[in-house]
Amino acid sequence: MTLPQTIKLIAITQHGGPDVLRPVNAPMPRPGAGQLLIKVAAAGVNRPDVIQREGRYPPPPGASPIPGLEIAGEVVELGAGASRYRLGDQVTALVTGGGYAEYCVADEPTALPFPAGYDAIRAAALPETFFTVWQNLFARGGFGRAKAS
Amino acid sequence: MVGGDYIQRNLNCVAEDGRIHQIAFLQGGKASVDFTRLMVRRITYTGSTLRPRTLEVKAKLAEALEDKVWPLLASGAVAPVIDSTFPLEAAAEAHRRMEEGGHIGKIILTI
Repeated sequence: MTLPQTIKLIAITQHGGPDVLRPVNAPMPRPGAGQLLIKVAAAGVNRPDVIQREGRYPPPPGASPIPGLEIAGEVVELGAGASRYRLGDQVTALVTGGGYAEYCVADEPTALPFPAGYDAIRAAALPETFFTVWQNLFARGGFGRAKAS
Repeated sequence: MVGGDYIQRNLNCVAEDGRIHQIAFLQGGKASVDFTRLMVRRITYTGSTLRPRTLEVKAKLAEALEDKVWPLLASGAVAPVIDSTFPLEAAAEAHRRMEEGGHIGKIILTI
C-alpha cells in the first residue's frame, strides 16, 4: 500500500472552547524503532483531551501536542524492531497523543489486538479505561478477594 | 475522580483500613480537609495518572490486560458502553457532548 504524504488531523489551534479544535493537514507521522504506524478507524475522546484543549494539561515531554490518547485501526507500517504485528492487523493502542488523526504512531507494547468480535469503535473505547482501571485497582491498589483477618 | 469538596466526603465514607486512589480532580485538587480520619481509620490515600508513565509500565499493564481482561471482552462478560460517535471533523461537537456531562459511556471519533 502506498501511504499518503499528508494526513488530516484535529489540532488545538489555541487554548479555549470546543471550537478551537480544527481540522488541519499535517505530514504523515513515521514510526520510530519499536513503533507501529496505524491507520486510525476510531479514536476515543477523554476528559484529559478537554483539559488539554483548555490549556490546563500540557502534554508530557516528548508527547504529541495533538489530542487523542487511544486509537483503533490497521497496522500499515512497522518501525525498526517491531515484530509482534503484521501489516493489516487490527489493533487498539494507548498513545501519549496524536489520536485525533487519520494516522497515528503507537509504541508496539501498548498495542493490543481487537478482542474477538470487536469492531474499531468498540476497540477504541478500551485502552484508557482498562489501562487506568487495571493500574489503579489491581497493579497499585491490591484489589481482590477479601483476605480473612 | 471528582476532587474539590469530595476529598473530604471520600475520607468520611472510607472503611477502616480502606484505600483511596485518586485518578482525576475534575473539581480541582485544592480543598480544606480534616485528615484526622486518615489516622483513625488507617486509610491509605494515593493516586496516579497514566499518560506520563514509562513505556515499561504501560507494557506490563498491556500484558496483564491481554491475559486477564481480553478473554472477558471476547466472551462478552465485560463490555464497553458507547455513548455516541462523531466523525473526526466534528471533534468539537464530541467535546461539547463530554462537557455537557449528559453522556453515559464512551464518546468515539470515527474516520
